[in-house]
Amino acid sequence: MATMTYWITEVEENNYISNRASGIIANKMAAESVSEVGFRKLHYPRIYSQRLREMGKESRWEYLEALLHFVMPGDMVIVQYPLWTNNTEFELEFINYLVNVRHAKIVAMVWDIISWVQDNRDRDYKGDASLWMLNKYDLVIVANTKMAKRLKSEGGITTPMISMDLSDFIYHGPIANKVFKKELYYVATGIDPALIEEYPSEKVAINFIGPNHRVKDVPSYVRLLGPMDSNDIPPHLEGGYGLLYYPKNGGYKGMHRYGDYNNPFKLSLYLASGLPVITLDSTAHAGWIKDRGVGLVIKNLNEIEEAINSVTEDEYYQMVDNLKEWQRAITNGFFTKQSAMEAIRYLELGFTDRLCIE
Amino acid sequence: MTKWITRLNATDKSSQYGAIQLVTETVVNTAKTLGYQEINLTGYENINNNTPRREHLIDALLGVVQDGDTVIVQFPMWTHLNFQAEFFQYIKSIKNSKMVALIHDIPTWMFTEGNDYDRENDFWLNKLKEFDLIIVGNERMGQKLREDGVEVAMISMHIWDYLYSGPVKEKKYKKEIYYAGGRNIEAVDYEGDTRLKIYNHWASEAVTSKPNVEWLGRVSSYEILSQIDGGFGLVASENIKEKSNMNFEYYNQFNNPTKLSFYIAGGLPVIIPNKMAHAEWIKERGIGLIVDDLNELDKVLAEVTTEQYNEMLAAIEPWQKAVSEGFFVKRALLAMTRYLDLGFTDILVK
Repeated sequence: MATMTYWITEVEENNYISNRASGIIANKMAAESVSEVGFRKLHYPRIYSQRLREMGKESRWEYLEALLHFVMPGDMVIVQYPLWTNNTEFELEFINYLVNVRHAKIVAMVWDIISWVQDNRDRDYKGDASLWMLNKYDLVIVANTKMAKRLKSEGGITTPMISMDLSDFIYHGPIANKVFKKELYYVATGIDPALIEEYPSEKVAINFIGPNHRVKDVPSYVRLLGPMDSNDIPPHLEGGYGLLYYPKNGGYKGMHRYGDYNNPFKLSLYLASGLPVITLDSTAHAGWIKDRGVGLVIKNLNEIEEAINSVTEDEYYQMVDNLKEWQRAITNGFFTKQSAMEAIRYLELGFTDRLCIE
Repeated sequence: MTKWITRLNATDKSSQYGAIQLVTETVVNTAKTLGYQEINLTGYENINNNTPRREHLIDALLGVVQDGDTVIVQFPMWTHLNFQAEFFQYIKSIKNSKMVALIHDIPTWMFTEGNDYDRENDFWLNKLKEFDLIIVGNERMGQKLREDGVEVAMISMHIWDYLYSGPVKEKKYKKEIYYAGGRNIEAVDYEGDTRLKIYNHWASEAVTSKPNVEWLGRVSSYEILSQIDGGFGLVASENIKEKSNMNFEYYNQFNNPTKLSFYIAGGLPVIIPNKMAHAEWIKERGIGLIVDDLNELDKVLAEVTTEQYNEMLAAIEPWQKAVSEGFFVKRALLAMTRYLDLGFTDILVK
């Protein structure tokens, strides 16, 4: 009669978005992984902000009753954060319902800090909902230790944190045998003209995967492979390197700097496909990518050509080999499972040895 | 890059539910939820003086393991020493293989009088040095292995799981204690008033006729868990004299007692002597009482209120869930991947 239950939220969207939008894909993959280690899913439909506003507080409360009223006192709920409703009030009501009505313990599994994606001005972010909301939780699972530090110092987060280290990309389909070639792949949910602008190297071809609504004419070294469902991408990554980069003048104003702190979906997708990566030396992942020999670390995009030219064929295949264990871990949901288990270990059993400390 | 784990099976139906078979099965069932594959073995006869036969058996068992695979050996393997040594050797000979020991017992410590064993030439300690990683029962076991010269990376399990999904009764504060064991009990040096209820196969008449002892005979463990409705579970006590050639008084300082997890799976507060590895943790988390001499029990319980007992019940609940759903094996295996495959060291025993 072990009565308590561990839950994880899962957002439900239409098939098209569920297969294309990285935030939704990550959310669904995490829920699936964690359900394999004893969690139950708390499904909720994605309801957009305007509708939530229109229906009013009382109706929203009934929605929450429908979705959450079976959560028992003492249960632990991992709330995947953000909830993708884009409505602060509802997201706050959601956790208030869990805590005040159902007396559950709540853990935020943070995928993105929207304020930092959208903004990079030098200002106080502590009043932003995407940050202060995290202080309502009993525990926060963050992307990595570098993000944890920023959340603490710039975001004013005082809740204990556990690092996910990397994001998973669940995939068991075919992948292409990697070929030693001086080319890049770049996967994005939309091709940003700023990236083409900032990408300097005529000699290294770059293959874009993703929808394109904004770029008309592309130079010859840029190939557009078109949009694909995320599960169809791995077989197309045939060799060369996966580029991790967010343009400085891109559509999301904070994204370039944010890329120093996040766990990029691209990184997980490249590694899941067995593709060595290229990253800037300022990112949270530069250190281990270099140490473990799974890719190249550069100071800026101007170094790409030189970096690629310095790699011999043997060295390239060694990288492909080095990343196999990471590929395996990521495609099996290792990092999500582990962080959920560590959340139980801290919140339920009181172990503190895996909390992020300065 | 398959991950394998050994499982000791019975050869005939009558021994299918032996304690060793059951504990290795429990671990394997949890490991399978994480994608592990079983290497099934059993107690093979006529192997001690037959080298070619051992070679064939081992070749057949481990021929499935490919370059780069990981093999978890549930340690020890409870068969002839030469078979075990050759089994380990074979795993190590596979290119890029990784070999992990998941410790159930360390026979050296079970059969010693005290600290007087020969560390340099001890079979078990020397074999453990050959592994890439050891999953130890608890931190104290890890430290003890280090003191004995085993300098291998270690991950701590903390306590055993005890998989159980059956019913349990609501617990009430009662001044009685339960002792459920697999060994015969010859004598009980205990004169207190608190009732001692014993579940086991055999106890001497001197024990069963004691007015403060209620001997309940052999009852299946699941039945016990579903019946107990209050009181405490006794993990171990020097007041209970059992028939065994092993030195449990010494050994219990380092191992993870199955009984402890068994009681926790039933949501029952425990009683444990101070020198056992888990005493401090139990005290800290308030899920039981520390009692060294059972004859002190009346006095200790006189201080415990119903309210305090109910607090213990609440404190056990998260542990009960974890233990009965295989949390600790799962966590140890994920930590193993984190270290062996990905090179993180933050989950190792310091």
